[in-house]
Amino acid sequence: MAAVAIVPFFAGPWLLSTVRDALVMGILALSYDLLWGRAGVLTLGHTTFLGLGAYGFAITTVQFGQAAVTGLAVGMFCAVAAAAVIGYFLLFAGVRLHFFAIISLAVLIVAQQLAVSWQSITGGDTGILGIPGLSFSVGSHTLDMSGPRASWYTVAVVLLAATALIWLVCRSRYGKVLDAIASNEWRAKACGYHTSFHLLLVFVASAALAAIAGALMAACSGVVAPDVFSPLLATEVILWVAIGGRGRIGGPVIAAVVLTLVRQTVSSYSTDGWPLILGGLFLACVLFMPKGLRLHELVEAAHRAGRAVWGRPPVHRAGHAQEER
Amino acid sequence: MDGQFLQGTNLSRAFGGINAVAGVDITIARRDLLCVIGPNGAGKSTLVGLLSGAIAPGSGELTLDGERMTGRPMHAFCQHGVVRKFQGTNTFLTMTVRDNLVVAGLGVAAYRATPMPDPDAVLEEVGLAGQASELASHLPHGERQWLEIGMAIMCQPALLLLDEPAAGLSAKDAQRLVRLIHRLREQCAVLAIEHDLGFVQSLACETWVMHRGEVVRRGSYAEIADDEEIRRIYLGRRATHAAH
Repeated sequence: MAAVAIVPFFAGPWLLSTVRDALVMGILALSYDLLWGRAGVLTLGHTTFLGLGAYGFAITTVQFGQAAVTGLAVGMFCAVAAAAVIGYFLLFAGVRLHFFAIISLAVLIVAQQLAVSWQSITGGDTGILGIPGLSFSVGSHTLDMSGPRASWYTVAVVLLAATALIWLVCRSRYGKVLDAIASNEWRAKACGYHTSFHLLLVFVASAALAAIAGALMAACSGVVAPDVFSPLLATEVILWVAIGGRGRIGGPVIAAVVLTLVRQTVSSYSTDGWPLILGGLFLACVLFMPKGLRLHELVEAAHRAGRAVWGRPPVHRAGHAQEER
Repeated sequence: MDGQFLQGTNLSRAFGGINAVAGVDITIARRDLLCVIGPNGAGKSTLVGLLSGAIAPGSGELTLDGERMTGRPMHAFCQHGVVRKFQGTNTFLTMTVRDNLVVAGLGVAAYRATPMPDPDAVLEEVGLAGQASELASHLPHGERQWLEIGMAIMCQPALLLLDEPAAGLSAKDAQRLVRLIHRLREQCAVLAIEHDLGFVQSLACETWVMHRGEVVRRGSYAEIADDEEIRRIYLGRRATHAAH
């Protein structure tokens, strides 16, 4: 937290805005961690709600000239309404797992097409430019949060608040219920849980949080284009949570921030390199770390590698042989 | 609050043209204890499925406390007090034993005036107090059976449906289960489906025999065991062995 508070005083404006955008992706990762990591609902189109939040914010503020708060509310409303409708028809009809994932991908592509072709509202391929930054007016006072430092703190506060909230939910009894539904939905039904309703609730909450991330993204960068709906970004979201560890809170956020920064770096050298690296990471994750990256396992692996290089005392070798038997 | 709790009339369900359950009439009062036996494929598990709402009946009517429940989802049955212990084992494997009980209790407690039973007391009752913080996936088969029974108790049942509760239990554990079932009967009705005739005999209760989807005999275990026709259908030599 101290680091988050101090960074703006040391980092240059470019670095500050890059890391801030990465933190926004951390919020998105958190929303997906709640949905997939906790409740076990896999979607390939989670960025639908990020895009709805971003476009809702942009259209309300730019095309209709409304205040930023209204834009945020409209963005969230669009995402919540879309999630509620899609979720109701799919989850209540018993659509689960890969079927749900494939339909969510189709929804993402529909949203992308809509953003490209509804030019009068969405600006088509160019998207919407000149989106105002965040500001809140209470009476005659206006709290402007559009500057580089102010927007940094806004994003950081939202990220911390969302992390704390989700941490509390996961630790609560309701978190256990979600665990149970993810682990054995049939059994949860037999315990009297209306599982479809609980999954819908999580789906909608997750969409709302993704929409907040979308609105922040639009407000911070000032532009929104149809590529927020790209399947590539939707894949990245899954990878963040997979690498960070499903159901853990800090891991996915850190993975999102780090990988987004890596993407920025790689893209500055070559635009084609990133999908290749992403695919490689995904494969490596599925093959070698199905439970995500764990620091203590990394340390152990380093120890093992070290011992292999420098040799190890015979006692260790005997102990190891026993373990293998 | 006395009187009929569950009433099913002419319950039927066919799978692929075969009548798994064909026109069963059933009434269960609040403190009944009932055992259903029958050969494999007689429709016992389907009957439990129908009574617990896991399977919707093809025809027939089902009421709980006078409220029509035909075609309602399984979680609604559970909220009305029909709680099922599955055949074999069906728990939340990724969670600890205690969390399994807590989650099982919370779902129904939201709909009841009474708070959920104390999970630690239930752990004590099913003999899993020592394994409270173990993952359910680490329990051996027999102990998972006890965990399931504990989960069913946590759901505050009015009617407890036990699908082969003695499967995988040692003879000693089976006797412990018989005692537990008799204790539970002071609070709720129990319907057990069982293959193990020794277990049915020690329950010493009303016993029904199912054959080809129909209930062909209803009576005490002693009457059933003495019935020549039942022996021919099902019991065979095992009955003589169990009866003496």
